[in-house]
Amino acid sequence: MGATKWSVSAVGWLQAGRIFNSTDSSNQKINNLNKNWLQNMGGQFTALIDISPNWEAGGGIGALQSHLPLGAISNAQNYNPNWGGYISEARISWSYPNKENPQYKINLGAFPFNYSPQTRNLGLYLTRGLVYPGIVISGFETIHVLPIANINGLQIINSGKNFEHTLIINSETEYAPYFDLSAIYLAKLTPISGFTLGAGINFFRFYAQNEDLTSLREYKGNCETKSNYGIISNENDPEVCYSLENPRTLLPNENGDTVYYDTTTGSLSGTKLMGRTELDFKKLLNFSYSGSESDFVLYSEIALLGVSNISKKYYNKRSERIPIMVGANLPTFGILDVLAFEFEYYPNPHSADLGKATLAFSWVPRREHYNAKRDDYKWSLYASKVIAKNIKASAQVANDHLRLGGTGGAYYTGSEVFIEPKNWYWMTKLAFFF
Amino acid sequence: MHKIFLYLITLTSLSQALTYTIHGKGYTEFGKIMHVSDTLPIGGDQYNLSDNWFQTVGAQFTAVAQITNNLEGAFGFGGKKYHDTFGGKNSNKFASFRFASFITESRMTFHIGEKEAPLFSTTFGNFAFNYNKDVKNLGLYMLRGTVYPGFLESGFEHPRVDTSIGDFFGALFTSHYGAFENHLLIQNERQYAPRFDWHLGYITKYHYKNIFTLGAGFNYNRILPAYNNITSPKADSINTADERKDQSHPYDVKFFELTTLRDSLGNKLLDTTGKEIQVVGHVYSHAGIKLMGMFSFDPKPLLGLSAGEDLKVYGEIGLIGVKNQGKVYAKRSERIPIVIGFNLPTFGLLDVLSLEVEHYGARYKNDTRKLDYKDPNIHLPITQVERRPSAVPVSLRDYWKDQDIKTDSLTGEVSVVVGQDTIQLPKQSNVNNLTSDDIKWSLYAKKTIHKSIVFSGQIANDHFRPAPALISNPINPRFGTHTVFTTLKDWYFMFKIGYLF
Repeated sequence: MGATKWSVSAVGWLQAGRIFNSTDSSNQKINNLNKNWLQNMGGQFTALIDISPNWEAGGGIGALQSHLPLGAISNAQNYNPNWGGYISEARISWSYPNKENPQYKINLGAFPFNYSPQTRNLGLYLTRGLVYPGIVISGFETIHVLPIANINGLQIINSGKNFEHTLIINSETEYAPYFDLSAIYLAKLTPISGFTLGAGINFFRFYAQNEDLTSLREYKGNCETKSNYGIISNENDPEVCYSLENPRTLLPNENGDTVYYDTTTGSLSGTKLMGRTELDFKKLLNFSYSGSESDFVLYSEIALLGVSNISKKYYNKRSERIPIMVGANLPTFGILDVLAFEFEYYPNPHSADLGKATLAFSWVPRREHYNAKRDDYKWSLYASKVIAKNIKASAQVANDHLRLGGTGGAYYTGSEVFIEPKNWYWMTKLAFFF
Repeated sequence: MHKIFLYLITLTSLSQALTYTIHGKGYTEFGKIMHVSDTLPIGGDQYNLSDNWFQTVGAQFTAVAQITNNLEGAFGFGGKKYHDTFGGKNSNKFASFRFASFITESRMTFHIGEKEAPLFSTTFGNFAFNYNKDVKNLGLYMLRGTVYPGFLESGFEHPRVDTSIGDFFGALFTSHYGAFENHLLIQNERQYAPRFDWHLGYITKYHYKNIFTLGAGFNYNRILPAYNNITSPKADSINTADERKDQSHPYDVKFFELTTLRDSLGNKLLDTTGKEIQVVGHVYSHAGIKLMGMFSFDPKPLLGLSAGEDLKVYGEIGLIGVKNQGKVYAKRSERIPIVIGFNLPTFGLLDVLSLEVEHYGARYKNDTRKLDYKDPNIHLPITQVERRPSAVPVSLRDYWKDQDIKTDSLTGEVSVVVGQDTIQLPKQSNVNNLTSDDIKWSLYAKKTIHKSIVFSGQIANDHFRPAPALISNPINPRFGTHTVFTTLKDWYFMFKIGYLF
């Protein structure tokens, strides 16, 4: 062990920001997030172990101090910082013929993965979020765009001159029910320098650790009563493990009309499709440029969250399950490393709250308490700059899919902070790394 | 005084040239409980751990500093992301991921002679100590578990087996002289209540040419209590009103027995109302002595075979509590665990493939909740006295609180009346006379490649205590106090891939 070569990388950071406008106060003063400050700090160490020309391993640990948002002024006394830890990675990798130029690479364990390195905020639909309901995830520098493990399982990569195939078996550890397995395949093609095409498919939760939780195909009772979300209270919602569809009135009886429904069962599992492009105009037009390597890149991503229409009531139109985003790295002529503007359109007609899915394992969307048509457009402006090789400053203003814990001890509901075009926030971050 | 000052100055100057190394490891682990018999028919489905999956990732770093030629210091930390067991469908949603941080080591070691086998060495602080490195899972009775009750510990790569994690807090004095190896241990209790008591232990081992090892030791648990009236309560400090009146089974008592006063002729004394006069009888103590014997036999040198772990036979026997006390601990034969292990030949395919089998005749469930009283619903109503750590095993009355428990005098079958219902308890739920968990077994395999990458796996029926997700009364198992395997049909498997540097 003593002769093993290894190196350590580390990062420490301070992060602060403010929600400037948030419409969704959930009709509770306690959840009024307007003008709320956000702040966290953290650090992590990661060791990279060079075992042989083919083998390497990585492992690291990090910690984060954060806090719940304050909510209303009347609730500010409940403001508490929280302390949490995480594993930045714990993996073993094998490469062939060698680590430097691998034709094949296998990762096993917990490790970071980002198939669209240009993405700063919006997108990554294939590996982030759910299928039914079609929840998408974003925010300021989420773990999916940082060197922090977001895949737990197996990854096989085959790289060629102009192409790359990736197969992933991922154990779900982000959203309950845990440990369901997803199978993901991604292909990347670079036909000409500066132009990249990508596509992928995700058989999300194709293997369930408990089929009754992931795909309750048969109604077995105990799921139609109110407040059945367990932790989300005061929700009188009979549709948890099935949806009530195709209402019809039969002959009236002596007490009045009787309405009958079809009870449609569904599943949290489903298939995602994804396509993306990346255009680097510096290479396509072959012009010399002394600014950042990221500048003049245009990228986009489109996805279908759930191939099958599994419910006439909620999932009957594929067009409502297609998020699309376009991003552009604007030229800054060396002033910044990245200045990226991203725009997203996702015409999901249902609530973007994931609490019902993760706490009650329900594939039925949570009942929206707002006009879900008003949150179809999202945008983000992100900037970053590395100073003195080891210090990175970054910032973002956005209206994205930010989700925060409940304020002042209120339970986490999984609701989005921004539900109208006028909503927005800003964040800044100062990081030291080596 | 000035000599001490000069010595400190010397140490300081040496520290400027100090050399250090950093070690670490990372791992991913998963497994599944394939069958449990004890799914207690009450309290929802949280007890049904059959088919429950586990998954953990972790990493740790430890720095070892060579301060002088004879003085070494080490410090490290680590963390792991794990989760509660799911239980059944209804409790599943309460299962959540958790993160636990820990100190791998925090110690100073001084040695004279060879570092690996010093003539004398002493270590202070928090460090790893494993007196029987042949053990893969079952055994290590002298330093794992409690005395009264005699709870055993084991599990997949338990912290006392995995020496990369320090689980011993105190001082260790070691001497290697010729074929003999001696260890004097002073250990502080941090795991089980009453905490902060001190133990005193001694182990001696004799090695014969890497062929045969014989060892023995004792551990006087809680020889120096932090609070004597908690570890060994005094009878005159106890109020009989604090004890449970219905003591139909010896395990029903909280921490002392009631006895009826008798006159010189043996007649029961009655008070003015005609009731028997009861006074404090035996008061159970947590303090006690463990004895241990161990052996290891490796025939390979005799057969001219190469080194390795194959073909090694090893074993360990313990006496968990030399002294009988009260009605509960009346038979030493029920306090003797014994394990036999054999490393099966793998002809170089694996580092080790080890089969271990254990017998332990304790007639109670390996459940530490009464020791710690972590469940506020046990023994209602709660008083401070009742929450005193109990040296008595859990009883059916503890599990079922004040519900009516009936035992069929002919068949011995036990049932509990809950409201209008009578629940027939399965045999493995009868914690008042649990013998179906006496046999434990474990098959462990390990393979190292490139000196750094380690694959290991285990299938076993051992003393694994998972921490199920929340759930309801009367038993709240979220703290992982009880072993889940109570019959020979029960088993689980675990697999781990990790690396060391």
